[in-house]
Amino acid sequence: MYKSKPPTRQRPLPSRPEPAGIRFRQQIVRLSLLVLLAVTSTACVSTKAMRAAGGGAVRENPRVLMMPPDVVVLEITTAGVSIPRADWTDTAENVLTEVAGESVAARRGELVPYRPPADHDDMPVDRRHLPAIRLHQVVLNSILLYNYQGSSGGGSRGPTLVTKDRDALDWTLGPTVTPLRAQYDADYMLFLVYRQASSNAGRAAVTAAAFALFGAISPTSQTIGLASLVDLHTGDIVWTNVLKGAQIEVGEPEGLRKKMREMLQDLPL
Amino acid sequence: MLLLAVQLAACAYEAPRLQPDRAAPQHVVEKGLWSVSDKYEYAIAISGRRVDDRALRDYLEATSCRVAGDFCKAIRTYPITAPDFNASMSPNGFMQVWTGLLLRTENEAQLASVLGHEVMHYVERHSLERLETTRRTANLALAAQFGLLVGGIYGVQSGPVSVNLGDVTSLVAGGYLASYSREHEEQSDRGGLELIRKAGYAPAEAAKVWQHLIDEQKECDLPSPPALLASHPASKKRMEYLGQLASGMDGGETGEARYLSIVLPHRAAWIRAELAQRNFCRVKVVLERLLRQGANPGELYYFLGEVHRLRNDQEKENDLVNAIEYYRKATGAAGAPVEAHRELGFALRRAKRWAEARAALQTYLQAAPNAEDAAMIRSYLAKL
Repeated sequence: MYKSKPPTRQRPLPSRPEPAGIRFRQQIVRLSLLVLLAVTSTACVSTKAMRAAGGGAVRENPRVLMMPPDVVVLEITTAGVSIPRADWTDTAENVLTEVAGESVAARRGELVPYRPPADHDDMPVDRRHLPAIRLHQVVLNSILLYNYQGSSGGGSRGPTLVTKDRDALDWTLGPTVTPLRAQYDADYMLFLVYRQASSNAGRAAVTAAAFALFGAISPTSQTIGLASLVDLHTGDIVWTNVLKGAQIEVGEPEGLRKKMREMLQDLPL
Repeated sequence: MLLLAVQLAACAYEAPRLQPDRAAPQHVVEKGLWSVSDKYEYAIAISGRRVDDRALRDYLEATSCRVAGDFCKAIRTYPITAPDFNASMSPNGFMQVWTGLLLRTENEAQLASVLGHEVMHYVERHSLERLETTRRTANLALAAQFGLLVGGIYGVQSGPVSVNLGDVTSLVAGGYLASYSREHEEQSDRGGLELIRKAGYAPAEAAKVWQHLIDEQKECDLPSPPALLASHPASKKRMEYLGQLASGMDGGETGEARYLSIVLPHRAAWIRAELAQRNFCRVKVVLERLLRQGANPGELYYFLGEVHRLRNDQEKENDLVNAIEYYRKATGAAGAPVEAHRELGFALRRAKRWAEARAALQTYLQAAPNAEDAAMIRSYLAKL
């Protein structure tokens, strides 16, 4: 039997759609957030895991629903133009899925991949799952803003909410997760995001030359990994982790595999 | 510097057209573009901005298909809830059409002319050409910069040398879509016109789309043209060459009745989205044009009343009087929402025309006895 804890928080969910202009602005905020995270990470590698108080009650043989990983890997060309690379992106996507599988298996759990409905052409996810997926996206953004921004030291502290403690992970998707739990009979849901921009050989030479000539330092590779674990019994986001600044070789999976294992090592299952 | 300019111009990259049977991308840059576009498409497909309405989606798909001809299967078209005139094409054949555009085109031929234009961006692989040209040009520019710097000329340290992870995220938001060159736009205009002619639409309708945008820009003193035109040939020039090209092409259908049957059920929501931006002048230009077209005038008069009510400028614009006049017209015309009576009543009440206000609110209650706000209206009536 599951040791399920009763839902303690029932927050009202947004019911009114906002005008498009506001949504676009929110999207821009979301994007600049990721950039901010990247900028504050220049040279050092760091991970910062957060766990909800009382969340992630350990369950035997947990079933973990894995959402499609959100991965983009770019090549920075000699002159600094970013080119998306399908091959590197696919490699990274496979590594993420593989590492998630082994992390869950190590805890005697089972990773269940999310399957899009048969009518893939019109909506790539089941409509009943949309509220949870969309809400997670917004809430993860808020977590980055109110729990993580400025937390790596050096930079100024990020904004605060009167209702939230910056050092406590205290967010929920509420009952929106019920249809996902019903369909997959899963205990948790795992989201992984990965972004990497890596210099090619020419770019690395230019960077070295720029340093020699002008003392200008620019990183040759930038990475961000995000992970979040949602308890499907309560809707609570029970654990998050952010990996920043790792120098990872693209195209060959071993370095990334190591870093992803690091990112998921505290997965509270 | 002249030499450099010549070199830069010389490395514009041209890709051969795509072939109709949706070939997988071969070029490494193109593979990357498709991969990132697939992710962008997924994000938009599940986003709340997408209009999740099967009839509208099917209609856009069918119209794109008719325009795209042999490329039908390669194109996917999604309606996106957003005011303003805009449409975009991703390198992988994923097209977005804003509802603000659907509000501004009057018939299927006008819509088709925009779709045809976007399809040509896909067929001619303009995103690939653009990115490849940027890549090659940037390499040369970098070489030139280093030459200048080593030569001791100061001050050329900015430019493409900085690594910016901002690119990582902006591309996910479609950053690789928006920047076509003016040559690409003109090529798509001409190719698109040919596509709609072949599809049996009236080519003369294409130029009207741009005329409408010029009207909006002029009437409302807009400093810059609407979104789609930012990197495009000026509307006027565009309208002229499209008009000239179309002058030799007679006939074709406009598809107005079919277009209206799909669009009219959504029109009120789209107008509300425009009003939420409070660009009252532009909304008014659009509403007046739709009135000239004729369908559901009551709805349009109602929203003209809303323009005046929301702007609420009594000193310069006499908005209260105008609002009353439009609401009054709405209640006497076909297609007005029942709220027209209520808003008329409220406006008359503000103008202290008590008897008329009472009559209008009573009419509202008769027409919508179970309205959510019926009890509130009754309480107002009791005090009138």
